[in-house]
Amino acid sequence: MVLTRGTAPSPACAIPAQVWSWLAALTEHVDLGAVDSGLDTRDLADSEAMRRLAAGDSRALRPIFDRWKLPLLSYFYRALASRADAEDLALVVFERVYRSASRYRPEAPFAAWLFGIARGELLHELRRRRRKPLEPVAPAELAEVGGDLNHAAEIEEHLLAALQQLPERQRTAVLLAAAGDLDHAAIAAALGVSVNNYNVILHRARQALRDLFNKVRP
Amino acid sequence: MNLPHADSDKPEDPEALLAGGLRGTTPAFEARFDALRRRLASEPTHRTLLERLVGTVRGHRVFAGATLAGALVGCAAAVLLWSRSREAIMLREEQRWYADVLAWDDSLRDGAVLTDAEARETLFNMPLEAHGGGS
Repeated sequence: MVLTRGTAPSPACAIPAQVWSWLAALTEHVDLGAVDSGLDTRDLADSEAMRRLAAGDSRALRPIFDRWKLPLLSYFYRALASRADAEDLALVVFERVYRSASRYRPEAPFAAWLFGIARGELLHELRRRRRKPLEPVAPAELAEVGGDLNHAAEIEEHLLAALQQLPERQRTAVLLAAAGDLDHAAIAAALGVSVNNYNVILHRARQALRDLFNKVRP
Repeated sequence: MNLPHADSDKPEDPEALLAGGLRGTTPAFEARFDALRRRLASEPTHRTLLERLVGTVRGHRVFAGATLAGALVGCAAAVLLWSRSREAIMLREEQRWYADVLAWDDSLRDGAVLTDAEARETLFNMPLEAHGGGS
């Protein structure tokens, strides 16, 4: 049976758990091979995918990967200033998601849980690695970049240099806020702080980033 | 977000620059994910507690570290207990020896063995006939 779904909910959507349980019951015998071959993977809810992962169905990792690969990659790339390291870390996170699927609680926003894992892996990586030179990507690899590509490359390098000087918590706050994939509550949960505390951190981060960026710019 | 031209005198907003992110993934990255998913699918679904503990690289390090720490603590505790028990054994042996000495000493006092002073006094107080002499 192929279930037609509507628009996938955002993490902050207030759809009750009972509705998801009903959907889960209806989709009990859905062949996830169809998901791989043609269905829109965004339609598969994160919590439903996690439920299937917890049951041991590794194919359910695909829709999670498709939905969150770019936000994760962008977050890691900006934090580490290296695309290669960002890809390595993103794959580690997806493996952690698979192995921790049984511990995920659908009451919590999936994005907060995911980026909580991502931040933990990032902290582990930062403790492990020595200081590395920046490895900015080519401007063509950045979304919404137009105009003078040389100028864009220069700005990207300055932006990465400024980000590297921020404290890790402020850097994470400003990166996740700018990405737009998580709401304030989810970002605060990922940081392990209250929403009020997060607002303070974000405010300071924005000021610090602006000052550092202007200092780095010639 | 289009970046301003180089001659623009408007300062760039770093936070606005962050909103873009990466445009897409590379085929190599997608292939690595597919390989990861296949590897995860080939793993047995039922994992023992030990397998779950050492499943990840980091878990392996933590498990090995905890085992080594536990072994060291266990060895230290065993050495401490052994030395304390040896002390206790030696103390008991010493106490038993003292008890034996005291018992021997008591038996000496209870027996017919007299000190020199006691023997001399006894001899002086005995009748002359007992001395075996007289005129």
